Amino acid sequence: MLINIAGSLLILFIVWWFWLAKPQAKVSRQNDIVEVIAENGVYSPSLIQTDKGQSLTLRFVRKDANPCAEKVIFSDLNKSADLPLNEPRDVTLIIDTPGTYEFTCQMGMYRGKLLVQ
Amino acid sequence: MSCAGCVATVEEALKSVPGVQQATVNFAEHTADVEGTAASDLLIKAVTDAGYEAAELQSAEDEAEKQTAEHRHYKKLLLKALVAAVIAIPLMASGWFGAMPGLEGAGRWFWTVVSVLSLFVLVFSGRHFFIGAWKAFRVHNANMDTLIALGTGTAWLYSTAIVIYPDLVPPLARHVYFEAAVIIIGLINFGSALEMRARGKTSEAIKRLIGLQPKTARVIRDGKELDIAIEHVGLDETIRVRPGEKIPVDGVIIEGHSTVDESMLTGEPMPVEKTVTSEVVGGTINKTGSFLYQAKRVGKDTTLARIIEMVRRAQNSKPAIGRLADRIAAVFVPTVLIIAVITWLIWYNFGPDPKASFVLVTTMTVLIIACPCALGLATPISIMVGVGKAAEFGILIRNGNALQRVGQLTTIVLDKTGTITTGKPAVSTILPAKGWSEDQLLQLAASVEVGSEHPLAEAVVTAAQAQKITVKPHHDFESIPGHGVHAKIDGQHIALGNEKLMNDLNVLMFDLPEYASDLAKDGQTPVYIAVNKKIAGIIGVADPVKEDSIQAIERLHRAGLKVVMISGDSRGTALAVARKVGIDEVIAEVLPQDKASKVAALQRRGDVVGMVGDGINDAPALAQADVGLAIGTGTDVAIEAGDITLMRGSLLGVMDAIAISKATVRNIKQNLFGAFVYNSLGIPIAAGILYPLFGVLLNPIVAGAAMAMSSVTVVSNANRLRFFSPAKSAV
Repeated sequence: MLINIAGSLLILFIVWWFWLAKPQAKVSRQNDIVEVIAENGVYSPSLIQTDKGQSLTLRFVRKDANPCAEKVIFSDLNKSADLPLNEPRDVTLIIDTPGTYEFTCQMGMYRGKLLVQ
Repeated sequence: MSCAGCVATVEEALKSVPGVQQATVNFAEHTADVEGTAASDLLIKAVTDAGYEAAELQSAEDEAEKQTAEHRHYKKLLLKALVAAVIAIPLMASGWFGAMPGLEGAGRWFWTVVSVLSLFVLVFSGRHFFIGAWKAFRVHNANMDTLIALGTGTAWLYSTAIVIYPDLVPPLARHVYFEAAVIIIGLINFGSALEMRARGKTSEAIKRLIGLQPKTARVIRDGKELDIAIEHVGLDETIRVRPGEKIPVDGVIIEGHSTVDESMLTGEPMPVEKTVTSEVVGGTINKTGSFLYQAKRVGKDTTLARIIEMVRRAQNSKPAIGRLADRIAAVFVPTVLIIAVITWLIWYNFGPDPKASFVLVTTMTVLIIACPCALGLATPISIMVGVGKAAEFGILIRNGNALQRVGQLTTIVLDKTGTITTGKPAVSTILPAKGWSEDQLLQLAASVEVGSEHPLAEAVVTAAQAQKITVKPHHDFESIPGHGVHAKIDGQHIALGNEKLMNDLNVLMFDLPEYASDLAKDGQTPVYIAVNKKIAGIIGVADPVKEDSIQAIERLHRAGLKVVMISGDSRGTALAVARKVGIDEVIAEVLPQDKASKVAALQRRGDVVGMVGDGINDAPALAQADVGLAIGTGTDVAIEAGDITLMRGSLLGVMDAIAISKATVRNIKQNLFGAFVYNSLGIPIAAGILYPLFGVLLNPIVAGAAMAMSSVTVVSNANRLRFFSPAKSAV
């Protein structure tokens, strides 16, 4: 019985943790530069909040030698950048429409989100 | 920098930028190596503020560094796989020969040592999975690392618990899975190494383009010739190019002449004659002569740099077909985790004894066999190869959507002048009216048209120059699009144009329209000339059909496409050309501003329309079409004017683009199908769906091997596109 309860709770936890709960967002102000490290399968920070119409520069520093991480793609914004190893690469965005914009590596393993308000 | 003192100044300036750890200036090469995380624009600003010029060195050095780092990473993966194999293979072999001790007595010590060795493998060869899984978890994310870490970690923990406390589980359930955990780690590292190797080949096209970029240029400064890094070439600088050398940047020849091999950009095999005022393109090869030219486009503005950027952007884009896989990939791993928990609960509640073993094996196998990577790779890897393949044939694709859409076209609309024809018309007939001579007519026409860039105007002016006819100055020049031009010469009003212009001016044409009709049937464009609103004659201008236009249109027909010609020419002329090349439908006498609406009309009747035209005059029609294909010849084509740019100036490029699109989309579908089928079948089988019927469970080691190979299979399938030849395809 205990195992079944534990299993059900685990399923609820998975649903909540991965789909409902949100990581803490890095809030950016006008003309801020937000450094995003690509390492060990994650972007840090992976959730960035900004205001619409605000200029935002994401300074990507890729520390993962796996070629999987060598590109960052903003599919909804039709923008992408090649990330050299251990070197910063800036991507400047001005998004006028509020919403959530994903950025990922080419394969989708690295995932991040821009929350535009 | 003029002396060693400058070196110190520049180094100080660079080191003052936050994030710089080390800066070393090479006075001889006028370069600086900077280590740290400072952005290049801040470094350049610091140097500029100190009173010097600076630019970021790119290309070959970065590419070499990147390849070294990738090679190091590849060798690391192989080493990790090897370490895992060294531990796993003896264990597996012992198991096969039944030489494994039990968990009692001395056997326990054996298994304790195995546990420690397995832990070593998990740490040495599998550390990055556990770190990645933890980091992803912290940001509410789950990826492949999560599945592998959970699968192998659970196996190791369970097995170690059994070794330390065998009484934890009933005797039947006292199985250990150290070799499964170790082998899976080894296989996945090996699979990643193979995948890296295969992926290296997918970016060959862009590496080839980057390799076309020369590294140095020979500039003339203060009367001296200097070899400098290409990044330091400024606008309007004079550059010398000798025979056999690569042309460094785009520009215009100011002295000398030569032939230039432009095939690496346009695919045009014949070297092109270049003389004073000819444009040259960076990355092409000077063949025979030496010349001086003035740089007109440098750095990121050169044709080659823009092509590379366009190919790069297109390779990173995704067509609509890939969006579904993206949406599934985003929820895939947490879904697999839930399936793993459900599997555990089902086997726990309904499975046979020993329950603990069945629960562990099936849960672990579900976690291991699921492959989000194959799903994530399926589309982008094929796009990368497909876009690169197209670039080899001088076809530049703007994005993944264009690549997918061009294979769905039902109708191709071709602009006549410059697309089907060479766009270089020449005067072929002069019919003066009574009281006028051929030379007089040509003089009047050339005098009005001199300075105009319209192809018909150039034909008239060229013909006058060939006859050594003097051109008179004109005043009050006016152009009426779709009609013609008029101006004043020696106080007389001269009008040149089509029948519409003559009718608007109320010019009596007598029987000249009959002659005009005959010219049109012959494929010539009749140009009426009127002096003070009295007809003076007709000039017939013929624009020859391109050599491969007929072959290209045949190929389009064989592929089941409708071909429509659109032209501002008279209906007779347009029909004559259409007959020559085998076109089904002609829309003639179209004003430039109406082309887009004609394309829209075809779309309204249900056609999926591709419009082929030059990128400048046909821009609205290209934008209106489902796919706009801009055609040109290397130096004159407006890159990025359409969804697809045909650099070779040949209509055969249209069919090549369609063939490559269909092959790429087919490849994507194969990859997606494979990834979906693999996961859709693999996960239920791993969960034990076959057990009630056949008593069969999937071995976790086999699951690990399948998972490792699934990404390699996707990449290898995409690599098949590298050998695709559009001319040989059935399409």
